Amino acid sequence: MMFDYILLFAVALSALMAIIQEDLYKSIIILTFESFSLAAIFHFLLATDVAAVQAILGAALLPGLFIVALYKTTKGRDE
Amino acid sequence: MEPFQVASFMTAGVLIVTGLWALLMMDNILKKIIGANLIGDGANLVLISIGYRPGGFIPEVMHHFHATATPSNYSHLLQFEEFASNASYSLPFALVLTNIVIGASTLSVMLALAVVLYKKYHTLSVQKMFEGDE
Amino acid sequence: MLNNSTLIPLMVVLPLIMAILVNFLHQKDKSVKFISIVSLIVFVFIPVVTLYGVHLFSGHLRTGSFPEISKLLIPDVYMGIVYSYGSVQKILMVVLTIITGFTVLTVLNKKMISGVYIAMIFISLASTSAIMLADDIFNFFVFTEILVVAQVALVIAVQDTKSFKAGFKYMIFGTISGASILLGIALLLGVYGLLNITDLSNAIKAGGQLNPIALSAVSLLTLGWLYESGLFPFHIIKCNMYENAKPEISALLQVQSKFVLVAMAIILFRVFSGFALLKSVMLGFAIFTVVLGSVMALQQVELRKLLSFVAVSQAGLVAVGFGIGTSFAIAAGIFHAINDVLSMAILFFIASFVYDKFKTTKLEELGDGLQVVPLVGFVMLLATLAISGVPPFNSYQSEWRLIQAAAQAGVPELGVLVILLSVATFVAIIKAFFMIFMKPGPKVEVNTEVRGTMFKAIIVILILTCLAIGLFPNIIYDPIYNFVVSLGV
Repeated sequence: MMFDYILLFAVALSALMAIIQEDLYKSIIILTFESFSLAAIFHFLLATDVAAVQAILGAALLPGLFIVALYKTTKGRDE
Repeated sequence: MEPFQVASFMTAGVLIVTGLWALLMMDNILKKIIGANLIGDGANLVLISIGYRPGGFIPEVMHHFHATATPSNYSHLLQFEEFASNASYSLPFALVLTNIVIGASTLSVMLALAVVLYKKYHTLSVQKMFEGDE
Repeated sequence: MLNNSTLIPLMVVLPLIMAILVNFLHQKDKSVKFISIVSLIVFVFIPVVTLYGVHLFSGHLRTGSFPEISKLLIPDVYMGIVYSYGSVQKILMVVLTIITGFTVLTVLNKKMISGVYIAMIFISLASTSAIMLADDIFNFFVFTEILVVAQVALVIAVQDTKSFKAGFKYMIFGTISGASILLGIALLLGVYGLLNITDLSNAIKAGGQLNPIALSAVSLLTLGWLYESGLFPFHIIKCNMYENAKPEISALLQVQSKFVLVAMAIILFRVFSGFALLKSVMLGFAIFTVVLGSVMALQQVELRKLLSFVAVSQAGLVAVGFGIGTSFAIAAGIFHAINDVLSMAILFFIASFVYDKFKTTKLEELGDGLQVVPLVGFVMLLATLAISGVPPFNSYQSEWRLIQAAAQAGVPELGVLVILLSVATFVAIIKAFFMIFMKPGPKVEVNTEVRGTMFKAIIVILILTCLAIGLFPNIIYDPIYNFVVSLGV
């Protein structure tokens, strides 16, 4: 019973931490955790099919795109 | 209103405000895009919390959901009024599925634009990229 | 006669299918050209022959709603997605498909034909058609998001740094506005339980006083409307989009923005019909847009930037018509949108021709155009008269009706605003005309191999249409007025 409230708090906290964090790689990992907790929240709100889609897109596809973009924008930076 | 639903709306509010702040105030271009992602997540959470029914069940019917195959503790759900009054409201779930896909495609276009802008300016700072415009 | 229920969604589905096909055939120039020209003829043909009516997707009819159990406020609801096609949609669709056809013909006339580019034009045509036809508010939202992506794709195809920055800024603010429209829809769904616009308007009328949650929904939806149409806080972003795209694409983008403005304002008025503060808020933002757009247009020294500020200020004038709020003013606003997209399309096509022939659009470097291309100069002079509201052209009819509507509604000061905007537009564009066509001594060499026969044919057809609408306005105006009266706002 308490687990859902802990998950809600984790979603809010990790969203805040993802944008305060200076290093972008850590920020994307925290964002992945937040998307996955959001998928679990969707399951507790009785929307299991949406939870599956959010888990795939938000926790696998979008962080993958972010990491590719981050790699292309820091590789070869000359400082 | 059920406290879980209220807490869920408040979390969605925190997500939207955080995303909006990141989108408008952050200097790094990738942080702005993370903020855009968070705004979309907050809007989806609002939509799904609207459809929640406390103590209800997921309205997905298995294909052998008929009188001889249903376990006895679910047999009351074979009546339509019982089913409809205890299931969660599933229309917002269709809206959220569409919105997740729209959000993902918009985000991928924004990431591609960020990569191209980095190649021209060699910096991720929005201040330096947009300093000449009015 | 042809079956009505299949032709209405065909106006949305067929451009999407053709876009996928043309995208697949990328880099096979002859096939792309052939398929594009055939599909353009079909796209113009379909809105003309379709009869008025509604289309119910999957055959879901209007059924009872069990008000005691479901607590809905109305006894009958639509059970599926509905598209409705009336007289205003017909006129707007015909104008939109004709201008899209002209843009695609101009794009096909160049040396390099790209299937992806034409696919994006077709997707934006499909989205704008769906926005005008949809009677379901979530379907409308999905197509606004698709339209943002398609328009950004058209702008960044120029592959210039400024266009990348313009596209990025457009998408950043597009996220905010898309989220606000979605939150407004979510709040309306939570309070009233309905997504169909006809049902929502009946439910809100039946509910008496507007629910406080629905008031938040109004403000969120109005914010989305301001972004989609390019009004006051977002006018700079729209101007960046217009000036950084190729001018023939800007001719298409401004048509889509004005028609989305009209469609979304009609939706807002239908859903929130009893709410008087909405019209005042819309009027305030519209007046700001008119003033700021015309003042900025007078200061510009580059042709495309000047035309984009004029386009934004004219969109503000259409929104002034909606903001005044009486049936006469709304009909005059819609009529002005139609007239204005035709004149602005002529000016943007002329800008495209100037860019191709003289390779620059900076006004100081151009000159002596009348000796090289006298026909284009003459048509630009006529287009300046057309857009400023000089009789016998079409904007005279619509601006006269706007001034009359403002006086009848008790705000004659807005008539003064309309006249001042006309004067400012005339001064800005006639300055551009002088600098391009009459001033001696160009500093650039002329590209003599650009004949521009297609451009000349297109702008002559458009200016003759403006003249025809100006001489016989009631053919277009009367169906619009009857439609607005039947809305009952």
